[in-house]
Amino acid sequence: MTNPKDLKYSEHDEWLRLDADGVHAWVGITAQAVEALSDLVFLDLPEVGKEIQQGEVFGEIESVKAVADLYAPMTGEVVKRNDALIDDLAILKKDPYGAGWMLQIRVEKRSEADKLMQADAYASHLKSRADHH
Amino acid sequence: MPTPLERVIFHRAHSDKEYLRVVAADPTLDAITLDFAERSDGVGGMEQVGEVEVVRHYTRLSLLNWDIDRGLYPLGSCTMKHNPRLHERVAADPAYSQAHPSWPAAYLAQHCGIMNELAADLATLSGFDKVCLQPAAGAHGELTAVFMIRAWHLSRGDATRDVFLIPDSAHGTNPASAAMSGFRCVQVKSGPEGTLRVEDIRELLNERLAAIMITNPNTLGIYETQFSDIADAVHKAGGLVYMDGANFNAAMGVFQPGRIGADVMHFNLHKTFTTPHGGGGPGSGPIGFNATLAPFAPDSGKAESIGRVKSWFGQWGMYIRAWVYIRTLGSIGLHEVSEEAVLNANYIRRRLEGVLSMPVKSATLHESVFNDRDLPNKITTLDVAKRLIDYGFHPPTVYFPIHVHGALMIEPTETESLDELDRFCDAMRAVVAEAATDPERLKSAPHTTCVSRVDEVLAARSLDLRWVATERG
Repeated sequence: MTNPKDLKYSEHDEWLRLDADGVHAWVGITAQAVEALSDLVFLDLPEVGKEIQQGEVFGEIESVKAVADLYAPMTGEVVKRNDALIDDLAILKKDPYGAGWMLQIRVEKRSEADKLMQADAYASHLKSRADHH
Repeated sequence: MPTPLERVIFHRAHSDKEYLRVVAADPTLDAITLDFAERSDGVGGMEQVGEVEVVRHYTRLSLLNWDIDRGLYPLGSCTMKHNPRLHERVAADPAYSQAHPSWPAAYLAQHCGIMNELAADLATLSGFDKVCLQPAAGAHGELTAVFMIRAWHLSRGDATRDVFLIPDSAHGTNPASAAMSGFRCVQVKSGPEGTLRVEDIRELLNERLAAIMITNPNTLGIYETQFSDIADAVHKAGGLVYMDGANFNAAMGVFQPGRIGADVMHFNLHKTFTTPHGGGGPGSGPIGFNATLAPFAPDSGKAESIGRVKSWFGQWGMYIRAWVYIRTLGSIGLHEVSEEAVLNANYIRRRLEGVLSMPVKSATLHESVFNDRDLPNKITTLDVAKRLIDYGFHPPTVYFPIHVHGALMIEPTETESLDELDRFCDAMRAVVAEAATDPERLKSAPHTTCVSRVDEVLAARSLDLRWVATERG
């Protein structure tokens, strides 16, 4: 499984795609996260207009095995929410980096993006985690 | 050949018969029976079914089920041990089974004596000053303890402590109890040995800390060697220590939580003390605590008490079984229970080491955790668990603890014979061998049950518990 090079990644397995305007960004979870969660059951996302804070929980995803918190990769206001995804979580399995987006946010501080990982760094982060257990 | 699926009982109904009149043979049910008979369509949508069909229906359903009386039930951290029949005989004695808590005190002297002795025995085993029997389940005991911890902080005028530290290996009920009591949960990561490290905890200690919840031995079956150091650090920071007693079956006569720094813990009478689990229950989750917390207990009678958490005395029927268990074995016998639980678990560990991968290699007590990392052909923990059913065993706990990928957690308990342990290990080895030679057989398992794989996503998203008459079979 390779991760798209144009995205940034958090240690909690969220991805972020900064738009060309430098103001908007798209947020989702990685293919590896989707696979680890197995069969998905529920997704809880914040309403449009809500503020999310980098590193803080912004939602929840539940599989038949467990419930996992979703952590905001950057601070910003929710501009769009993917309601189609909430209704059909199978989309996440098919297209986690495209149709499986969760939120679009209006980014507050662009510098926060520096705290996120590039695809290579995320790959080695995953590897070190797999070696641990 | 799989057994045909049993139809729901409504499909067995015959509206032209009035079998329910049979019930009238019992004069105490006259009023109800008359009401039944006057309705041509049954009671509240219930159709009429003959006694013979009712008996056969539920007997057949019970045969589709699995229970500890049929064989090994090695669910990790659940301690599914045999329920000795002596306990059932004593509990069924009308002097106990028919007793009512509103009887005059003089009639209940013996019952109260038994409850006091049980509480005292649990206090001795755990090293706590006091025990409250009231909570009706392990998680209920946790919640009661968290309420007491909150009351203690508030009594000191300390209303800003809102954080509970919870290890990544904890049972989900721990953060649930803390969150339901208004606390914020902060996760503590286990170290590479599978245990908590005091240096990791120290980094999280501050004036917001209310308490830490630690399961010991933890859900990997490993004794938390730094428990006392962690407890000291937490106490110095102004917090309290809750010990989850789910795994107390490894601890009896070995260590006393109350003497190594825990302030409060719960017992599961339905795990450690052989009262029936789940539907055979009800459960019972007494708590032990030190003198500092005693005024806040549900039954302290003090103004500081959090108030009662269960009506009357709690699950009396479970107390008497646990009391008989403790009386039958004595202190030496209980110590042997823990030793043999550890021995049995380690026998399985040795027989399966090298067959299944072990994510953490540290010495384990009453249970051990394997995972699916080295299985060929993309065979998962779920496939192994399902195939084990075909071999006549209840699967172990799977995908818990959640910090281990594809966890498979095995706790045999002390009540299994060497022969049964060997049969189980042979089955596990056969299943793992099949993973290489016949993976499809695992992926489509189980093959011997009336229902094979269920659609868990559909069951979770569109749960439908109500039967509606749409067609007649």
